[in-house]
Amino acid sequence: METQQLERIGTDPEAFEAFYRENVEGVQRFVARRVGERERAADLTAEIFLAAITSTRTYDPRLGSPQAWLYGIARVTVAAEGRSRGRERAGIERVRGSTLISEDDIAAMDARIDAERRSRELYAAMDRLAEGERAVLELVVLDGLSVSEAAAAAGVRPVTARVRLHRARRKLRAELEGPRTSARPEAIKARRTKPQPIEEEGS
Amino acid sequence: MNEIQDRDASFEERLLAELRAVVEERAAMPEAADVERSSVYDRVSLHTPPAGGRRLAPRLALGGAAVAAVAAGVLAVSSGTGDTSSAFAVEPQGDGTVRVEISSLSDAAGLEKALAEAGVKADVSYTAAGMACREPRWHATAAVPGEGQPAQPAPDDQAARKGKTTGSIRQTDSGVVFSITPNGIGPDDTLVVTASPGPEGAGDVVGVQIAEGAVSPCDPVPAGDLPPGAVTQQSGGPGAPHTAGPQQGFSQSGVPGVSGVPATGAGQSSN
Repeated sequence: METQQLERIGTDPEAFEAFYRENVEGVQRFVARRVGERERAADLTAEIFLAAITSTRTYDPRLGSPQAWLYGIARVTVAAEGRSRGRERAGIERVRGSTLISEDDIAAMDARIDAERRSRELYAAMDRLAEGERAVLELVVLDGLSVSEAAAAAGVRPVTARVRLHRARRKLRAELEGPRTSARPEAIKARRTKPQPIEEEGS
Repeated sequence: MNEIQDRDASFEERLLAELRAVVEERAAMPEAADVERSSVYDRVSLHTPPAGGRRLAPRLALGGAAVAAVAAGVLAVSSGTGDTSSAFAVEPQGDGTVRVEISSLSDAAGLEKALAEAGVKADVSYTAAGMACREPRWHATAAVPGEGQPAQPAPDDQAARKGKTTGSIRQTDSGVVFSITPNGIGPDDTLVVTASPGPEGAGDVVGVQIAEGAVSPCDPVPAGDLPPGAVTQQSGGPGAPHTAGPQQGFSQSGVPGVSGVPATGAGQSSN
């Protein structure tokens, strides 16, 4: 999608529809990799697009693709939802995704959620990582973004992302090799598309 | 909310219909959309409370193209609930100054309006984490636009010389507080307030400047070599060294007009 078009999605229904159709499956999969309940997933999908509609000014084409930008929004939205769950949710709820689910949708949504079970296990295992490290790791490992895209989505420099990714992988590997896990470390390696140069601090 | 429950449509189509309705509404009411944009945006970004309740030391000063860089402070986000009605307070004081308190990065338009009612022409921009407004946003006579030396943090001196502000940004439990003197701000001047949430909600960066002449709207760009997260991790607590660690060099080639030095004018000192 062109940059000019992205800027218009907040006020141009046609531009928004094109953007939505292009990304709704990706967003739903993104959510399903993190959230295992249908209603929450539906609510989050709605929230992510609402946030995109209202945050077009934050998109900078030099930082990454519209998809990376959207993933950044999605990540923050999911993280915020996780933390505020159980508390009163502030803000608007003008579009509640969960109210839009019909019987016919359930099979498709559950299939998507089932398909991402392994990813959610990995996601849960990341809980003990530092937030900054986790952010980069989940975007690269769970969502298949490149390091530079993940950096853009997480709002850090690529070099910072690389350092964090390296640390996160090391920690998670140690974590997963421990006795209490179900996800295996190979899963991490397998999703790694190509070797990333590791830049340690100070070098 | 529209009740669109077309039995034949899928979830995706129904959601699209709802969202399209939101976009159409915004298209019809650009002004309302602006307000909403900031408040919704806040909801997304601010609800990222500190992972470990970390307090963050002041960490950067905005300067450069600023005519008078007052100071920069850090707004610690202590709560995830963004009640826009208490996001800020603008209180004219008996001595002619106006006390401004920002407690959460929401409702930029509302703060702008409240400042205007207090006689201060202001431009308030809240950007996403890791973003900053593209500089320069105005033509400064006393600074080289774009490149060049970032203003060193002598904000109080500068402010005193200009006579336009009183004191500096202070951090309180509920947010940041600063005072301005409307009479000291010329008819063509604009109070420019910029802020962005820190990563992981560790703390937010608030900058207050006074611009002479027209100010262009905030065009958010990545803060580049000013990754807030990098600094955040350096300031884990009182006494944490600002200058040690892998991100030491981050401030050297950063966003024009933004220097990465700790703001001495801010209330919380860490060394």
